[in-house]
Amino acid sequence: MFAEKTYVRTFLILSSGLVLVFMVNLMLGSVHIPFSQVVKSLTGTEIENQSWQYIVKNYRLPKAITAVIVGSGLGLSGLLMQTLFRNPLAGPFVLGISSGASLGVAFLIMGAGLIGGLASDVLTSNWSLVIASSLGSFLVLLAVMVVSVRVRDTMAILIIGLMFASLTAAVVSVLSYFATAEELQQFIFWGFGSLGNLAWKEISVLLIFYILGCILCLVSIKALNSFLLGENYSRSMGLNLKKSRIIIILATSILAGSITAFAGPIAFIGLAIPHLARQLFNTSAHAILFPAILLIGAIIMLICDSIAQLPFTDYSLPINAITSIFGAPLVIWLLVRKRKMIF
Amino acid sequence: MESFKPNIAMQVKDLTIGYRKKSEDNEIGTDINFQLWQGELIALVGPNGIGKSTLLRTLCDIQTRLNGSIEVGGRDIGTYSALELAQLISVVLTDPPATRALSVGEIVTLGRQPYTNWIGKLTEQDKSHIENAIETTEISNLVNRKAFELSDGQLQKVMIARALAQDTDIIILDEPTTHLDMHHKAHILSLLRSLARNSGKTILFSTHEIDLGIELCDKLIVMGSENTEINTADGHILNGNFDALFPSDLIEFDSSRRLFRIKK
Repeated sequence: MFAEKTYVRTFLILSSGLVLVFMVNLMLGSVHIPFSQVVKSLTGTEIENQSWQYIVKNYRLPKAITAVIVGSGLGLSGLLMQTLFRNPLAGPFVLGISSGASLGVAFLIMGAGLIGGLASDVLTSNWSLVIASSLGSFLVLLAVMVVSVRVRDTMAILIIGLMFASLTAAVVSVLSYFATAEELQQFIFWGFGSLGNLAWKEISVLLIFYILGCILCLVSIKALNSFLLGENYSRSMGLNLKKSRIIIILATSILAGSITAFAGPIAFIGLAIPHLARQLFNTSAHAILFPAILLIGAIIMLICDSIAQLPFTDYSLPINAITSIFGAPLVIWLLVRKRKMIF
Repeated sequence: MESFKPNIAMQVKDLTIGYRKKSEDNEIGTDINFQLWQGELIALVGPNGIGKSTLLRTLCDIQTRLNGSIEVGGRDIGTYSALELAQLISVVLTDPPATRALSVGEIVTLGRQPYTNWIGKLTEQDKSHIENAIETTEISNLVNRKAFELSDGQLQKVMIARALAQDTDIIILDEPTTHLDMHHKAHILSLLRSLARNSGKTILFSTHEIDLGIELCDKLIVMGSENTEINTADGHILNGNFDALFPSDLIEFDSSRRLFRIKK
């Protein structure tokens, strides 16, 4: 009668789409590797060209998996924030996660000159960026949360998050002003985001956080659905508002925080993917949106990455530019076509 | 302590409502006492700003009370967990749904949340409650519509269906007839009356339709600046409660015709 609409077909199409773009992503790059050879190197069969196998296993596969995690994880955290704040403009970073990360990284790259103690090879190491980014996110998030528990209105949390973002941006500006051109460039490059810097060890760490975030998101589905009616209704239906709010914010922080730490502040995806999923499935029921966003997020991110690496050339574009160039028209097109925003 | 009688649905004693402030409490209503019985339809009437919504929100524990007791099922509502209370009292608020993209079926289904498991899986029992609620409110033709496609009257019926699906003994509605035309006002109120008659639910709603309330309800709670009194329509008329409700320069209560009219 209702709620039994078959989404099966769309899910099947999306799943096969994901497999397809995943394989295409592995094939494309500065060197073109034929499909059959990609499959062989994945399954571990010996292939003629040893370097192809090396490229697929140690470079392209980790990058593709990172793209899947980043796209789906940011999509999910965007959904969590949009529903929690009942605001279609909310995204994974409204609580100050990316501004915190940029503050941490800015201090690492540009503040080091001020202190003058750190060796330059420590700076360029991946892990120090990850740690600086996580630390910054964590501290800013903590500050936002400490202030937020004093307000009862969920909307106020949104504003507080934005205020902290402005604050950190101001500090970053001051740091940038005193930074050298080289430091500035390094910081700007970090801001472009990057999917390709992760080795297997880093991916496994990211994966743990990703799975944890997904589980928290999964247990919040019921609460998220009731938030669609508003907080008073949620409470009248027996929901523990405070607890659900904390779990939702925690899930977002874990997902968006870990992704930003490893891949930089990837823009736009977290905002756009939930809208794409809602338009495509014509629903705001979270049990449907959850798997839908995992699939769509992964697909879009893989496509963006394939474009960004400019196949058959030695150049690659910043991933952040591609997500917006590619994503914004897509969202606009969907909104215009359906004429009604589903939110 | 007075012993609990099984057919009292809700007992309110010495209730003070209002907002808690740091310096001193902002009291909106004090010394509120009434009993609601099973199967009664009760209208809460009073002028704008007298605290009807505050009272209703306090009764369903969305807002904290300043003083007094509210008993449901022989226990104070403060002793129930949120989940337990959600199985005793359901509400229809004036807040519109935060998102209008939900379908009617989805909104009614949300009413089963206090009963479903962690992921919200519906059992056969849940489904039959949902279907009942949809049939009773006569919205089966709307089930697949989105909330933004509905008229105010239809949306109100859907929100009532959601409360019905929640399967509680008490339903509290805040101004369910606002924004509706005469026909839909009468329709919603007679729906509420038949719900109270047929299912034994206790239904308390606030309204500005005092005339309709006098005609349709078992009792009315008249909330004035001085005191709050529950009585039958006849009782209120006898006590002259309606006469004192509004400043007498513009409107007066015509007790023979049982309605308000404008002074000429």
